[in-house]
Amino acid sequence: MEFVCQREELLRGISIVERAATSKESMQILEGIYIRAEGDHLHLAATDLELSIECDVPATVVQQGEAVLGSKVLSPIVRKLVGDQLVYRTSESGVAQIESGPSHFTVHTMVADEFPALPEVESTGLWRISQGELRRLIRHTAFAAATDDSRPFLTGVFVEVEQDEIRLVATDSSRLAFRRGKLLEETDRPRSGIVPVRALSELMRILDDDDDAVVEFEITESQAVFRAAGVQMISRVIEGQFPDYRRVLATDQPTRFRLDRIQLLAAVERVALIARRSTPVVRLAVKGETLSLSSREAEVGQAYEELTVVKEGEDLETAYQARFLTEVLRAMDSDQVEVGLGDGLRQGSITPVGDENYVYIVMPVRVG
Amino acid sequence: MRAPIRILSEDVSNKIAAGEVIERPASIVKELVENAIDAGARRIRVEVRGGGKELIRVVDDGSGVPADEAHLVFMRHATSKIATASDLFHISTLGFRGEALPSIASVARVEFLTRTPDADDGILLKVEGQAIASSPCGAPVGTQVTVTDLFYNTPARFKFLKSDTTERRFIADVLTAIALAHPGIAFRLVMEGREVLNTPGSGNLKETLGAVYGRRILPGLVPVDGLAPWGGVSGYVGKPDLAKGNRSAETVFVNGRWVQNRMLYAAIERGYESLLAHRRFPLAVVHITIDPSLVDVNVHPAKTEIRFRDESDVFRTVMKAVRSALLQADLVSPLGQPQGSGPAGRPDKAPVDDAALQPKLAWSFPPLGKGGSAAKRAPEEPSAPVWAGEERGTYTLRPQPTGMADRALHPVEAVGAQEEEDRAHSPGEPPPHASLPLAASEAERARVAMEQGSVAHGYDPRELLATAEVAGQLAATYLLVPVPFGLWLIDQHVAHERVLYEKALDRWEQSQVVAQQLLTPYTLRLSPALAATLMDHLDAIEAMGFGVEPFGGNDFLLRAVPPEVTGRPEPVLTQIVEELALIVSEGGPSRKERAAAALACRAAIKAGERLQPEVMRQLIRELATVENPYACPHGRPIIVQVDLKEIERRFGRS
Ligand SMILES: Nc1ncnc2c1ncn2[C@@H]1O[C@H](COP(=O)(O)OP(=O)(O)OP(=O)(O)O)[C@@H](O)[C@H]1O
Ligand SMILES: [Mg+2]
Repeated sequence: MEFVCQREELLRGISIVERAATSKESMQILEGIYIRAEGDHLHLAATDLELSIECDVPATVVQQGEAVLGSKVLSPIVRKLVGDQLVYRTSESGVAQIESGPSHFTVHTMVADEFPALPEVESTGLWRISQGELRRLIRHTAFAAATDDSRPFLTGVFVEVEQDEIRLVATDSSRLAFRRGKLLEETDRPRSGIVPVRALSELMRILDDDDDAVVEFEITESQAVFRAAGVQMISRVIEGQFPDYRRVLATDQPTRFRLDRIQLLAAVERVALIARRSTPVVRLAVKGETLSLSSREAEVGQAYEELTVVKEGEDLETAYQARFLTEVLRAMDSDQVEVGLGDGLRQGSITPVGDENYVYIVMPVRVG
Repeated sequence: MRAPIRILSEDVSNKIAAGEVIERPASIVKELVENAIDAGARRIRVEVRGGGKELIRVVDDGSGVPADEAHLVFMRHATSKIATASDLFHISTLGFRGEALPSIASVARVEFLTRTPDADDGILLKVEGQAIASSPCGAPVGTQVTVTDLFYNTPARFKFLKSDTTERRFIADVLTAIALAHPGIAFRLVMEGREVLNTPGSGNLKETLGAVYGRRILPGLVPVDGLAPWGGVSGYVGKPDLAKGNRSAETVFVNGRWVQNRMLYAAIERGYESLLAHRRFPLAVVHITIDPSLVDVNVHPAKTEIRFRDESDVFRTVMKAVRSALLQADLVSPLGQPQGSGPAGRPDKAPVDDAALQPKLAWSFPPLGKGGSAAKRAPEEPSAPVWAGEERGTYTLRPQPTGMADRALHPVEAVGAQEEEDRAHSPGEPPPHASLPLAASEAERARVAMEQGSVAHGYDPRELLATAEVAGQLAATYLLVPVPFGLWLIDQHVAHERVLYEKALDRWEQSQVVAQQLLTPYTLRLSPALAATLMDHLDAIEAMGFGVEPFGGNDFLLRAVPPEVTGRPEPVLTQIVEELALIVSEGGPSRKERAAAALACRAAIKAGERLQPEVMRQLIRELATVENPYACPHGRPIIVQVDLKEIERRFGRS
């Protein structure tokens, strides 16, 4: 294999795919980046068998072929080289020569045959969505997923597609985030699957700033495929039955009030400061037009703060884990939020004012 | 209708006396073994079957009983150990009442086979009720007592015995204590055909401790040494990470006699001050030597109680000795010791046996029962270590000169401190355990000093944890934390376990319930026994933050969880219930400790989990706030320290 390419372009490709490479000692080949030179480009790929990322980089291919280089070796070299152009050549013996500017590297390669076969896209026709819409869908939901492995189906985001609507739902069983979005075209049949949060956060990195650019994607029985900006990402979907979120969304709250999102966020963060050892819990009490937030920790002291709100419904008191409030308030974009409090031990909700497509449900804590 | 006064027959009075002396199989073991010790035995073997109800046999190689005195052995108040009442004030033997054997014989069948060194033949006594049959019989020098069919003639007493398992535990406890009291005697305990205890009898207490509790505890032992005008205190205390949830590893002897005395336990525990978490108890073996005329052991027939003339003086001496020993000890589990002497000002003296007993050295004990070199060895002479070649290459396996012993093993000079202490307390003050025996400021000073001394470098570990950064994660299990004097390895699971444990206990103590409600309840199915346990402890389980609702049969709905439980909650609750099911009436960790430990263990970050940098950082910050950052609720160490000095030495820089 022999090719010449722009160093910057190769570097961009490497930094996109290398995130899928692992450092599991068990399979050394998975540390590698696969390079195939053909036609007018290089095809780069890395995978940890759960997630694979591939992309194309333009190049002048002198002699086609394939090679696998350790990402820990290749990536820093390409990053540090100074020339604009990079010349790559593999000899018969599997030693690669990399030249750029004044530098010349000779590095060992791994056996390309050992690199796992990349998953085939079993697509029946990709859906299309704008990058901006997809990014918002992920940002508003993925944080609510469970982080531990004991319930794998909760460590992903449930993605549901129906006609021209896409819905993302994530829950850790104490709170749930739901967002609805639009596809660019209608699809013929509804489909759904649980996509690992890790795949979505890698996707967020790959997507660029252009809100209008198009992402093509699809979720099948076994995989989620995303294509954007010349990159293809394929992730395994998580098996299991996602909980029925519609039931959770259906309930209503007897007390609702509106206030500034940033104000509420800052107040919760302040009040939670008092919890030094315990899990921070914030009590919310609405009385008339006043929302009071308080928290206390036996050996530290207490915190209390009042905010003015626009309220509908009864006076009510409840308590939440601070984290369950701050995370959502940070993820949201709107200036104003509407908070609904459930009575007794029933669920509360937070929604952005003026955006019907987003609902966050949170269960209270019983403090005694 | 009043009955006339009668003198009780010997049979009846024996049985009454037996009620006081012989409560259970363990009491028999204790009495027989004490007799063997009094007879100067070097090796004592105890065999137990059926929890001791079926058979107890104690074999010793002691002096034996001459054939012409043998008939007296089973007579009440017949003893070779004291002669006059004034002897009672100078008792140096364990027995003195002449009551044990008659008491045992009145409630069980007994065979007593004995031979003195100068007799050719032994004598065998068979006792059943009042009948004693004796016949000459070949026997090794020493005595073998076999007790069968315990309480065969007092079925009411038999019914009060606990399960075989429980009785076995009592027996093991008794023999453990006795073995620790007599490191110079080799003890072997075989129960139901299984060897449970085997001590070398080399005269070395630390070695004996290793045989009893397992060699892994050896590095955690800190020698205690205190002097007082009336005698002194010696022994070992365990570093806080060896603490347990009950007092079962606190063993105290007064003049070699095992005693269970609250004042002495309190003195030892007070010596740990804040080093132990609430309701944690240390591993400690403390020997008190005291002028026999200053104690009264004759307060209870079982002789495990004791009275001191001057309680407060004993209390202070014990507490001070324990405290100053710990003050000198490096309480972060060390990994390799720096070469050269300890930090400035530290005495470099170590007792000879300690130097020979470097904790991680591999050595073997001379085998027992092969014409026993161990048995013949003088009690005070330490056995020489035998290097095990295959372990030679391991990290800590290098012999160290006496003066360079483990810092944790330095003995403590308690004398100076003692005088200061004496001046501070005039006689006639209330008993010290009633109020804190140190002035508040002094107590505070001691606490601070201890925490500083705990890493032996003048740093408070918690303060370090509050500011340190995590450099990385090793094997997805250990956090690497550079500290000014080396590197700390922090076990992520154990550390998190400790954090969660204390959080749970804290909330419990402040009766603060925090129950995170769940969007959709989980269902939980338990075995009938566990379901019953859950219902028994429903109050406690709800107090922890679980919301549980019976759902018919052995099914439950789980509606809320403590906030620490972020994963699947059913296994956590199941484990807690299983743990609660283990609670038995006798002692052990309390219900909340068990439950908190089970919760912490299940909910904690697992070993092998790759952690984000923020998560690792958060973890050490939280660890900085716990009371005991040294050990998890099960006693496993949290922090292991690699000394910079050691690193430098290995790089050839020192
Ligand atoms: N294993 C033994 N080896 C030698 N002598 C023994 C042994 N066991 C008992 N004896 C003799 O039998 C006597 C009676 O024993 P016993 O245990 O009944 O009383 P004691 O030990 O004198 O006092 P106590 O009732 O306090 O134990 C002892 O004083 C001792 O002389
Ligand atoms: Mg006796």
